[in-house]
Amino acid sequence: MTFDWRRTGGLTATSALVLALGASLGASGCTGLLGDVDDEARAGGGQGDGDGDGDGDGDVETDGSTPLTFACDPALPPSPAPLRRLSRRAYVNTLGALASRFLGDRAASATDAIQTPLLLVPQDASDDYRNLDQAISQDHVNGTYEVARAFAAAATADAALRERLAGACATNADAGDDAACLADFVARFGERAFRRPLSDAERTFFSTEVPRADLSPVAPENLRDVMAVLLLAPQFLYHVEDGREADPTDPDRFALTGFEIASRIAYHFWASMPDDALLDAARSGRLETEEGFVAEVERVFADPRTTVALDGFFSEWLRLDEVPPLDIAVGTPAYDAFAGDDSPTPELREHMIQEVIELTRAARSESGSFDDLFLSDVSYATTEDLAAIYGVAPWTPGTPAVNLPEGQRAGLLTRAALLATSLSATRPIHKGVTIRRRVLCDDLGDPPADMGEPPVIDPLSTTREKTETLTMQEGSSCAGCHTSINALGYASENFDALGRHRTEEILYAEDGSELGRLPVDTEVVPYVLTDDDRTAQDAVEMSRFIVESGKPQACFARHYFRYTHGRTEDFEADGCALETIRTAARDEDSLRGALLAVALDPSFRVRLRAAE
Amino acid sequence: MTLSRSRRQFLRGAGGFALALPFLESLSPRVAHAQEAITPRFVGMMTLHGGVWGTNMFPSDAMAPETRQLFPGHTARFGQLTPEVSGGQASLSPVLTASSSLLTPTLASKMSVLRGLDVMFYLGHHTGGALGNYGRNDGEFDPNMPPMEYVPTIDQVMAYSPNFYGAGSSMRVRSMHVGADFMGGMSWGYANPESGSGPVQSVPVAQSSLALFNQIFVPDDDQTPEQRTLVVDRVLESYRRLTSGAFGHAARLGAEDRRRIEDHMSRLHELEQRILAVASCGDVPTPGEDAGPVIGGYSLDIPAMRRYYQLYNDVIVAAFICGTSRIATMFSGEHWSADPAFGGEAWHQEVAHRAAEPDGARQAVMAEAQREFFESVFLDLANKLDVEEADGRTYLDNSLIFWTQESGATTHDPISMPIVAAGGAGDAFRTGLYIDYRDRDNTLLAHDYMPEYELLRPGLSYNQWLGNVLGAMGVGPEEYAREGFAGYGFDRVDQDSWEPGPPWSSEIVAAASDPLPILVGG
Repeated sequence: MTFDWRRTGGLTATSALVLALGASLGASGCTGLLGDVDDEARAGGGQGDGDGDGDGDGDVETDGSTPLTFACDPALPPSPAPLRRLSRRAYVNTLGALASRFLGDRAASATDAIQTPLLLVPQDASDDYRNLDQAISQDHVNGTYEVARAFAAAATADAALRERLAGACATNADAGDDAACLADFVARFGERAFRRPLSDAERTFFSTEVPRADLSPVAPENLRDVMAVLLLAPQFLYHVEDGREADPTDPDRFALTGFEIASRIAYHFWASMPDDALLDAARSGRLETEEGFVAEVERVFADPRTTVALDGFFSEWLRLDEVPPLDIAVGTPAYDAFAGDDSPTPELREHMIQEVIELTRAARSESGSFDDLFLSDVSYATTEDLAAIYGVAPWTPGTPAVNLPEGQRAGLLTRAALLATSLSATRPIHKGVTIRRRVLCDDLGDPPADMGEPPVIDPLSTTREKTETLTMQEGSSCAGCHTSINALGYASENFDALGRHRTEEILYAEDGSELGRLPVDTEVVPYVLTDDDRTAQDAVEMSRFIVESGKPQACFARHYFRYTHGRTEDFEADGCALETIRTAARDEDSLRGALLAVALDPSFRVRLRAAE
Repeated sequence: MTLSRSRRQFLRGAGGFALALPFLESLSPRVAHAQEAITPRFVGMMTLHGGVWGTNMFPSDAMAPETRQLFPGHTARFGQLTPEVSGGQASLSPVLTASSSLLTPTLASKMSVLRGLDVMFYLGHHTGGALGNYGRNDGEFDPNMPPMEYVPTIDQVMAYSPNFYGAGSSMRVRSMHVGADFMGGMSWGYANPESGSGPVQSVPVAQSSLALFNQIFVPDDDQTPEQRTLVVDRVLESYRRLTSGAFGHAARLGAEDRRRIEDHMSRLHELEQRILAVASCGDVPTPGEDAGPVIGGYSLDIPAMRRYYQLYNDVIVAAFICGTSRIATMFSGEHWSADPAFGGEAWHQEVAHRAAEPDGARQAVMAEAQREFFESVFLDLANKLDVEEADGRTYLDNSLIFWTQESGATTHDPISMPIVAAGGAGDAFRTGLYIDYRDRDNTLLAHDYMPEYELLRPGLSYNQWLGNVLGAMGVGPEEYAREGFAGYGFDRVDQDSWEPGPPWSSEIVAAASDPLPILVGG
């Protein structure tokens, strides 16, 4: 029996009434399911113009407070965005790109030197997407200082390296060209580090005011220190976008320059600095034309670096880092009896995660679709262990995917990574919450503090039955939300805790002996939409309901927006960007289109300054 | 790592700093007197999940034979901590049991164990609550109460107090943070702590004991101060020019942009101080091993957990001895159990949430896990610090290490948060005592779910403990007090959540600003 009990006995009549009402209403904390307005909707305040005429002038469809569409008013500016720092990943990638660019085959001399100091730079952390972590702590400042010093010291450690950085003028005997030599280095290195050409004032500052006057401008100490200062300047550590005059009609709205656009494209799709082609397109003005911009976005999107960067988005969206280690209980009689021949190794977890990533890669290819995320019936398991769990042969990348047993699985929600636990039991509540929050964007609120007296659980019952007993007690505060949570998890109870298909649940005693076999029940009313009371026979049918509802497409738009812009969406101000993504996913059934849409929306090329 | 004390320790204390605050004087005349000569250090520790029964966590009543009336009808009990030794194990309670070579009578005489310090509202799944940021929890119960705001944790209050690190100190890192970082971790502070402004944000944990060591211990060099700070000076200038418009376009920065840049510049000033700090730690050897990334809650490898935290303990001790940092927090999210049946997710469901079951089976697992932490981490640090600093006093004597858990005696209940401390922060706190502040005749918290629930009794405010810790570190309430709040933290009682009413009197709530009876001043 697993339960979280508290002091119901201490409750007053008022509090008890609140709980009772919550239960009778169905979901006291599940605002997204009741038609209340959740926090994010409040932030945006955007529920359309409400005239209901469907003319596209602001009408939105909602399910409770969960939007199914977004109102796009092109006249509205996007939300203000405060000065963003480079994410940790972008910071590390950019240092690596700088090392490659300037040190060539000796790049490792700099990148190796920063490995220990990089440990001082905090990992980005957020309950949502890591890009949302914009905190600056003392560790960030101390850490980036140590990294910059280590990078610069290593990059200037010998004459050969200094020559690569600044040219022969840095090491020749002619002191007459030293000042120009440093100025040239500052201009070239600075342009890459700042992702734009330096202004005259910047060039003067970094090449004449940073170096020590008692040494040659290209003395090793000066080259080192100038490089370190460039790597600690705000123009490097932050996305400083200030190259354009404000819009004549809005003093806080700025169209981005070509270089700023290049930077946004590169950091969004690659999490790294722009390449030569992007900088050239910026320099030539092509990026400020619609045609040139689209061409560069398409080129960058097709680059393998985009695939890797977007793997990170899908990993965060699906919380793949939360897939637990699967080999924890190996060696205990009950777990060993459960796992049988499929006893997991530590690597199985990684194989499961990679298979989901491969599924998303296929869905985001030109031949893929958004619906594939939820309906794909092919396996991307490349290893014997995971393929055995699916009952298929391993897949070889570059060949056609392997068909899964007919009718068993559909899309992400039936993949082992989203089903597996470190126990011998499944977690229907966890599965349900993940779907509700990450796929459907329904707000569940937090569990109540007081969960009442623990019920008596029959040990000889299925996981579904135990969960039902635990959460659906009459009069408890749990039943409301769990009505909408549990069903989403029950639908995949025909998969065990390793993701293997099953028709019955086998119960084991601690010594590994079998206690009984009970048939699994996957029939549910998932209430994907509040008023949709259709019955799904299993997760395959439920996945179809989910795709048909339009809810995951709108939800995906919100998640991808957050990942892109590093902030929570505002339904009103960001409605156009959200609707652009959603439309690509829903109306065009194109995941690739949705991933591109965020950059093609005009808001991608505009900065809104927070009003003074 | 073998620590050898440097000559620096014998030169300490000459500078001193003004600490004679009224609050300290009210605590005890001895406190102010002692702290003029010593520099107290602080370590706050927290483990998950707690829910350890009182009979397992605390010494028996036999160890608290003395009584003192706190309020009319409310009597505390206390007595000397006296370990019972058997078979090489010394024990104050089932959890407070360790090898008799670690839990010696001498060390026990430097410990204190406090029972009956309560958070007076629901505080489930919190990480910040142990040090006063109660806002960092998983939600609140009483819908009629306003949400709790985030506030800095006490380690950050003292870290930025002008009365803690004096001008010209040898500090290189204000505070060190070790262990888990999930849900934001244990320590919280302002985005701009120098000015006390901006949002309250998580303070990151260290990712490498070696990197932390390298931050704290920088080898002596022959550079002038100007040469040492050249890079930071120029970087600061680049920030100034960006905001002033000298690089162009400053007007395009918004107010929030400017605030972020100012926050960053404040941190650069702090970095500059660190670079200029003078510390002579040349004889402390560089550790030969790195603790690496945090072990995490899925591990069953107890030797690896011990090694991880003990390597960080070495860095903390070395920093304290050299005076390069005087504050640390340690948040252990590990299970401290090697039983694969309870690994990973099973721990939460099968142990933490079942620890109150009457048969005591899961309770025993939880208690043993907490005991392991006590022995392997808490006592390890306490013993490493118990080496002479000066005048017959040890670093431990002049420090305060305190360990608490996420929950009190029952999971998710912050009633009787266990306080296990070592060191008296100079003479700020008496040591060698077990003090039970509970009002045993007050049964308003008791109910009949499980046996342990029937034993719940209200005591004093946990806020009072936090305020006293700050006082012991020389930080008086004038530095942190908010109108209407006593002690440190959020001062409230969920009036609607207790039937037939809150079990704590208004006098107890108001007394949270006072020195803790018995512990302070005798």
